[in-house]
Amino acid sequence: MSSTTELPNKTIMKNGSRIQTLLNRLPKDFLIKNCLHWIQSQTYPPNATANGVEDEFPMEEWNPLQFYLDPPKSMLKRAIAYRMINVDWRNGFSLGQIAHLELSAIAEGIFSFRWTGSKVFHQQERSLFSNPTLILQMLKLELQSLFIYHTYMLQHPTLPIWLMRIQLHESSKPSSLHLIPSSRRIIYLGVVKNSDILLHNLFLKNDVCHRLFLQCLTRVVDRLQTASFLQPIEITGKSLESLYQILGSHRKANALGAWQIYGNNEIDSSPLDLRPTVLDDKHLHPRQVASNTLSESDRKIATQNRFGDISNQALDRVIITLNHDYLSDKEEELRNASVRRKSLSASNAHRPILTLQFRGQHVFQGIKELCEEGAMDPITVPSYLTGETGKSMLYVYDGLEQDRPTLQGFQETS
Amino acid sequence: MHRMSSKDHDDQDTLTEEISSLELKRQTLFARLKHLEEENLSNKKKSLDPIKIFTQQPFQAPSLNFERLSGISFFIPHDPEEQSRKKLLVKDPKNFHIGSAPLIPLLGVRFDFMMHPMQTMFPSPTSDSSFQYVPVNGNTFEAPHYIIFRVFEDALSLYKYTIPNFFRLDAWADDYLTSKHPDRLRLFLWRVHKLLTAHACRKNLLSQLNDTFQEHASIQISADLTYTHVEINIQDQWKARFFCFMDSTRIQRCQIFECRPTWHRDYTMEATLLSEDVWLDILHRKIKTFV
Repeated sequence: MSSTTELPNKTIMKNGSRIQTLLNRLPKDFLIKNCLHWIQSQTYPPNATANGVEDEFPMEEWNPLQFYLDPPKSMLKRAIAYRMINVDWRNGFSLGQIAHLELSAIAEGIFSFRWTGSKVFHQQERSLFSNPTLILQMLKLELQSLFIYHTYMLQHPTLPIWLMRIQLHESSKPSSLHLIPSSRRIIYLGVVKNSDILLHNLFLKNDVCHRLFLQCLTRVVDRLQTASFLQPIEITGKSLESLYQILGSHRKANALGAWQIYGNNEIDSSPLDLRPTVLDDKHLHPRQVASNTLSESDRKIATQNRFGDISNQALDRVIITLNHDYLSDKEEELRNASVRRKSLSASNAHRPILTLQFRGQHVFQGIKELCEEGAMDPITVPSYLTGETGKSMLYVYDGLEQDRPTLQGFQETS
Repeated sequence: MHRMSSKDHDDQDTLTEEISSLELKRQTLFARLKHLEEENLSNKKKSLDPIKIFTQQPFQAPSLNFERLSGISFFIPHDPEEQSRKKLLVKDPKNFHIGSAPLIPLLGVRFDFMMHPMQTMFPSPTSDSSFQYVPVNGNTFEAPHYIIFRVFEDALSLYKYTIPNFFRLDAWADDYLTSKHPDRLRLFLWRVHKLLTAHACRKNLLSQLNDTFQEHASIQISADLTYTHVEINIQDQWKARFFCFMDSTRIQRCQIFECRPTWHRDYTMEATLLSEDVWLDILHRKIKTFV
């Protein structure tokens, strides 16, 4: 059975405005590095043919390898992009080239991209995603019956995450297969190795392709391990490093915030180590804790204790839903003074559900700075505001953060 | 009265000899006793006055953390939310009293791992096998792992832990923690300790292997994060893939291919590695033959 609906990497894409904008968004040395790699490894050699080159650029002087090995320093990025499109790869870029450019730009952080995640719940004792190539193969089998697709996979340069770019085409008209589809039809996946977490872009509720793709994913997960299901995680972020810090398989993932002293092995490292712990001067004396006013240095110490090192946990959107009574001491006095047994309806005081939405480059760093400045008290700040929970959509009931099961499969963009 | 015969004289002589030797012995023992008593007295004079000890600065004698040497130890962590909960006022759903939010008590467990204790702390000079768990970074103990539980009336629940996610603690912990049987907690802790120790040992073995063959560019040793899938590639000569279970250091399955001159599978080597407890040695020697 050799007929597949998979587009090979060598498929030529028509040069259009989309490719132009893509190349213009990428930095100059990134483009040059990739062109050099393509030429030197002969994976996508420049395909300008003799009759395609214009008169201003004679064929004998055309030496792309020489050019990319030592490009003129003053040449603008636009000029290089122009050369790439109109001279070197005049007959069109291959799908593999485009996919590689886009995916490695996302991996290296050149393009900002909003990730979210889903977790597989299953009963096996090992984590499911130990072989990303196998997962890609299984996904391809599932996609085969539904779409004409193209897949590309590469490993993140520093993190143990395998990134995949999947391009879906709905119609089989040949003319549409040579055009880069809209961004809604390109899906990015990130398989975190040795974990049960799959990172992906936000799936839209009302998009048929996304829904079908999600069904394929669910089937892949089910084939890897029966009676397992995929559930979205309540986190969304733009930085892969932050997501890996919060969701990855290492010591610190479940010991964030004030518990980082355990995750980072800062205290009690070895039973044979007889030196007194160095944290004694970094921790506040209990008497100081009780007082209402803190000196600035004490406030800094207290803030550092509560938040820990959050430089690698950059979340840019945090939504907190609060559900508790807003009571004050005065009310307590009134209640104590009046009759003890009140009717239920009267004591069901106003209990509004409040939603706080924080937006910014690094929300928890902002909250940490508020505590350092004195706008918030670092000793009485609740833990969910310190980024301890590792989620970006929180539900708090009576001061405790709850695990609220979300709808399976869909996370809306907003 | 009869005269004493010569025999009686002899007997008397031996008797007196015996008495005199015993007397001598007694004297030496006496002298020794006196000497020891004097020594004891002089020692007492040298030691500090006990009253002085207590009135001076608190005497912090460095003491070995004996309770940690067993591998699993408990502690009560300080709850960072303590002050925040005290300030929050909630209504008790049962009797509608208003009070500060209840603080959920926490229990912390610490897991310590020592590479084979006899070998690292008391290395035997006469051991002939080269296999040893060498302490990584010079530390006998690996970095400890922690689990913090939240203590409820009838169950414990996992709150914070440093154990990596590939052990899938959250999937099987609840079975052990919600049971009322006291042994279940002990079983859970023992199981976690076993998993973590096996992981640390496998990591140690592989880093030893990696360190020995680091300079040779043709040898590539790679493993996944759980150190259960290991691949060793010697360029154009030898390929090996091992699989271990999460809770043991024995090789469960392996595939070894040798190129001599064509690629074929080396079943004898596989059988040896599967049956040996100390497979690092055999592997080490085999790889050395290719270098």
